[in-house]
Amino acid sequence: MSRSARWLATTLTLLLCACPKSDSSPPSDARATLSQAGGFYVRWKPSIEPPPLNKAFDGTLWLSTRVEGEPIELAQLDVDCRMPAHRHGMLQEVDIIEEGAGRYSVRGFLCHMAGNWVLQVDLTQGAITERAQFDILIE
Amino acid sequence: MSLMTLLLALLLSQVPTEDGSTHLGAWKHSIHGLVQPGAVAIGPGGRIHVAEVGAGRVSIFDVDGNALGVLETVDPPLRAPEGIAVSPDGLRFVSDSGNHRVVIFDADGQFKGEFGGRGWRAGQFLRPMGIDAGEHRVLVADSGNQRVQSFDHAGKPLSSQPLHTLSSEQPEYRDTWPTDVALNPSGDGWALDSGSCGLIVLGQEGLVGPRHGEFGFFPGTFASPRGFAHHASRLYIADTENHRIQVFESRDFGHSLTTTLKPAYIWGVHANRPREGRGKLHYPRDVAVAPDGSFAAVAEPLDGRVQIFVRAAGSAPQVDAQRATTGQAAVHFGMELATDGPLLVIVEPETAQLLIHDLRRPEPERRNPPLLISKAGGRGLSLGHYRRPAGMDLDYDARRILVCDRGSRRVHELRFRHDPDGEIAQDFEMVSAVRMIDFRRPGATGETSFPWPVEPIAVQRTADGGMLVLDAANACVHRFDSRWAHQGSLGEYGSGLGQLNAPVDLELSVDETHLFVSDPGNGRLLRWSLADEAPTVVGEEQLRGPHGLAFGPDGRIWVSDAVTHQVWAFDSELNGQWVFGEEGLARGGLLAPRGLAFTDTGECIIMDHGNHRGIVLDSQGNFLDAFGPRSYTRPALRPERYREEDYDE
Amino acid sequence: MKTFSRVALLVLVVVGIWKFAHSNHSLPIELARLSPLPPAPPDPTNRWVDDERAVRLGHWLFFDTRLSIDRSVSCATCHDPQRAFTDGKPLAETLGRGTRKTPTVLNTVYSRWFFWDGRADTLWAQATEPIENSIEMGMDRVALAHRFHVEDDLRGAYQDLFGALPEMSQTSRFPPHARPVLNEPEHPHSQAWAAMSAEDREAINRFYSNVAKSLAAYESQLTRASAPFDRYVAARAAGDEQGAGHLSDAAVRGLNLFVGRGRCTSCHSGPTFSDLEFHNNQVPTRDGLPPTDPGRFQGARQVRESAFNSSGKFSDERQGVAAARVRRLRTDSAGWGEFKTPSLRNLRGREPYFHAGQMSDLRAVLKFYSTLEGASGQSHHQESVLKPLNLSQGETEDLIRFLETLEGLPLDPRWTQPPSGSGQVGK
Repeated sequence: MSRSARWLATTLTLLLCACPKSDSSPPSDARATLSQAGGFYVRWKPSIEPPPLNKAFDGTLWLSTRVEGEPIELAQLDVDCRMPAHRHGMLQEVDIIEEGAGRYSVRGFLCHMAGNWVLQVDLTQGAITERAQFDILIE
Repeated sequence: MSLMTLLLALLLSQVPTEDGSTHLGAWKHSIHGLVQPGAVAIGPGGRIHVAEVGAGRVSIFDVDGNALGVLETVDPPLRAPEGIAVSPDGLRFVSDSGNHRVVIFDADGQFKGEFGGRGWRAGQFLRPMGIDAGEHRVLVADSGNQRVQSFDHAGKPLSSQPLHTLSSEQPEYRDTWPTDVALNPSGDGWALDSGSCGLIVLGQEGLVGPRHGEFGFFPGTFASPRGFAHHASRLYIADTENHRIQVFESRDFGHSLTTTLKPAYIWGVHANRPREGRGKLHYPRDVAVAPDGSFAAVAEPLDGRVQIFVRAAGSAPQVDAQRATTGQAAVHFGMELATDGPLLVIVEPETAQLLIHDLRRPEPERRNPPLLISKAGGRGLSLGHYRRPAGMDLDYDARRILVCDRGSRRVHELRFRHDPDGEIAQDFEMVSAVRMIDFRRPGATGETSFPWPVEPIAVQRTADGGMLVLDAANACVHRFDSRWAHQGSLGEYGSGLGQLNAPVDLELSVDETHLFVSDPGNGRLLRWSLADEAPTVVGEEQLRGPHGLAFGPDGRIWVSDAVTHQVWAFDSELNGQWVFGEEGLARGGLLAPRGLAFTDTGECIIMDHGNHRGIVLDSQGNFLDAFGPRSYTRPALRPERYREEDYDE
Repeated sequence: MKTFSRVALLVLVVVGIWKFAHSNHSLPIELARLSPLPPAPPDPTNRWVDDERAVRLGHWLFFDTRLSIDRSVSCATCHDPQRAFTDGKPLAETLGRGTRKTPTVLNTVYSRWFFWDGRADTLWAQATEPIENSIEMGMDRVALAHRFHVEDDLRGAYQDLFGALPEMSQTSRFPPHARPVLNEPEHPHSQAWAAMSAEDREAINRFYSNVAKSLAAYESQLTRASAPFDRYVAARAAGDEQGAGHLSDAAVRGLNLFVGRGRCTSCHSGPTFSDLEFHNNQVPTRDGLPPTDPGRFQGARQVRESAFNSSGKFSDERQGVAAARVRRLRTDSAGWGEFKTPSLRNLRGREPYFHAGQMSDLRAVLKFYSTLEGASGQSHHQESVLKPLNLSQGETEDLIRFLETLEGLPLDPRWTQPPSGSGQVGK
């Protein structure tokens, strides 16, 4: 191998090692909560922080059976954002895409009014649906 | 042209067509003194047939209100007749809902036959309701089975299109609850779905068309519509919880499933004062139009009356703008309540919300009504939203509420925050939903299957964190542990010992040794000793329509009776004593009392449902207070000023 | 020299950091959200929106009465440039009388939904409706295609931009009149439309959407920004607490009310002073009777079912943000009686106000919000979210003074009149 080819190969190898692998585990700054009855654990990170007023944004959920537990796959999920003070939800549905290893991409949040919202993550297992929720302040 | 054709043409020419020059909706008079009139039909000659649900009979009147006769059966008697139809040749078909059958009477009022029976197979029913009869065909709203069935006049299922199954896996249509049906001249028909608040086209060969309409308060939307009628290409829909009749032109009538509804007009404004009639509508349950179109009849069970309306000039009624928009929002108390600690929760059916009240007094020495501090829920299909919320259980220490949803076949668990020592203040973010069990999902009752998905109508938490759920469809009580795994059931359908017909409430004794269930279908309570599951019948002589149950501080089980308008109490020996109530509006009066509960301070709160108010008694049954709309509470709070004549129609 | 360059670079960096640190330091977030009006958002569903030829064609068509059945009505008849692109009437009136007020076209390029009930989700989809509305322009898309085919200038201008018209000379395939009429399958136009082949219907729809896209290209030019309020905010952002005097004291008081006690930004939020969504503010009906206009309740369904929505085959971006939004749109009964929050920019000339022109001027509007007198559309089952503001007369005047500062710079005059030329499109 010529000197320049070795240089190129070395550089490429170093670059590849430096690139982070695609990682499905949640980032450390993701918000986390146990569900309301303790049945599952969920982390959440929006695509824009803080979530914006009246502008579409997405989010990612990580579901597991408990803190550091097994990821929950093939989950039957319903996700919504509601504004308790006005007793209404969002004006549109969200799309939920399973990405594997307990990770779910949720697209199409739109919180169109300023105030307190609640992100509701409903997981159905068998005949029982349980909720985990996060408070979101839209300013 | 043959003579027959000529005669037919003459006959048809006598049927008024809706040309817009007149409209139905001018009040003529009312027929009073009926016992929960839930359905009405008008036969040939203008004979008005009224199904009195609370009395187990069909009463017949002429258009002037003169009584003409009664349709009854003896063995068994009619039990909650919820539908009545008259065929062109004078046969009468009665939906005997409590007995899950259709009874046929001939033109002379003699019993002619019956068909049906409780079950899920073709030809069987579960709580049939609305019914219509044409020349050859009888259409039955088989409500509990979420379908419509077609029969001939002898009760034989029609081979051409016996069944229209109305529910589907689509979430929006899972709580289909068909309460009324109508035939159209071409032989197809319509079903009114009170669950999803829409009208459904029934097509050939069991095909089901799209729904028209949905839940709401504005024109073209409905709130629990319960009955309707078809006449001269118009549909008259009793929009029950919107207190009005909505009239539509139906087009593309016939074999097409693509029917459109065009609004024609709305008639009726909300009755504001107690017993107000004269054309004002309270909760219109059913409407019927005379075959010649000259008058209509509207049944209002809570007011014990049928109002008669005739034609007036013009295409629509004059709208009284002052009455039509009432401005301020008003809550409506439903049938069920729960109380524990300082809180009281009442269901509001119109909005499917829970109204949460604080029972504490800002001024301890001065009594005040329960103070509304929050509203939770609302209509919907997600966790924490309801279709037909029913019985509840409130556990203040655990900060938990269990809510039955009969419509969606679910029990929801909610969590709330409240500081018993904090200020009394509104907090609309007080409640959050925790979990729910959906009885339509496989595995909800474990390995045991039941004929129908559990229809939860009442619930009570047990000391071990589990719950007891009263199942209206399967007529039994289910036990669940704290993880909501099914642990067994108690009771079965029937009228014998240990059997239930149409149970509505349950109450577990504090030591959890005895379970009481109220069963208006059998006109009694059942008490089970949980140690050996031995059942005992209670109150057969004293009760007719028992509803709410609660243990008082005196250890007796108190029960409200929605048919006798009374409250009774039974001691540990099961001796019954009248405690309170007679039919009326004044102090001491009740009208169809429903839910009943005791506060921590030993006061009894009764949902005086027909009187739109709550009544508060002490532990001896003495009147303490009334709360709710002023027009309804004043007669009880100011008995010295009460005059009965002020409250007639 | 090297040293000088390094020092100069250091100075520049320090100044830059200082300016950054001090920019917006005194600007409350409520103001930062309201200004400036950003550049017009792109519309990838309309690939012609920035094409000058499309703008020119759309400009012409906007003023061309040949788009109406009897050649008496153009878009400009109701959207009169001299009246802020409205008509000054409470209810639109051309071939017939409508049930709602003509909204302005100014700044509509910023909208998320179009019409009072949002039954269109793009500017070009909006344009397809009035042309075919029997009480507005009375045309139908097949007749319009025939007209384009017959009139040389229209045909030439269309073909230069979009390519060949459908083969309109084949009258056996293309009847004189045809269009899908909503909820009226028995209508002669509907029946003629249904009788056409699927390919021919698509060709006509393609033509029709192209015409609409050129109109939208012109309408996208109708933006007015840089109002005195924007200059005030810019000055405040630069550190001038007085906003360089761009707002009078009364207007400042009005602004404080607007973002403060008045809570107007609950709905009139963002740089367009509209949240772009829908509310039922219980404005009184014209006749005092209960409301009968379903508003968003119906509009949401219509936009989802429309052949011309952004997820449909005539959209040039079917996977984008707008397409996702219409696909996800909720259509429940909560929308009954809700209407789009109008923008408060450029209010002058747009009276009367509200969706049926119920309020003659801003004083009437503010009096309603102040007292909620005559509030309608409220079933006794509903809860009212609005509370009366109880404004004093002075506060009302202050709010009006503030709203007057939202008038943007005038439009380029060429957009407010028909294009000059030989009278033929494109010439």
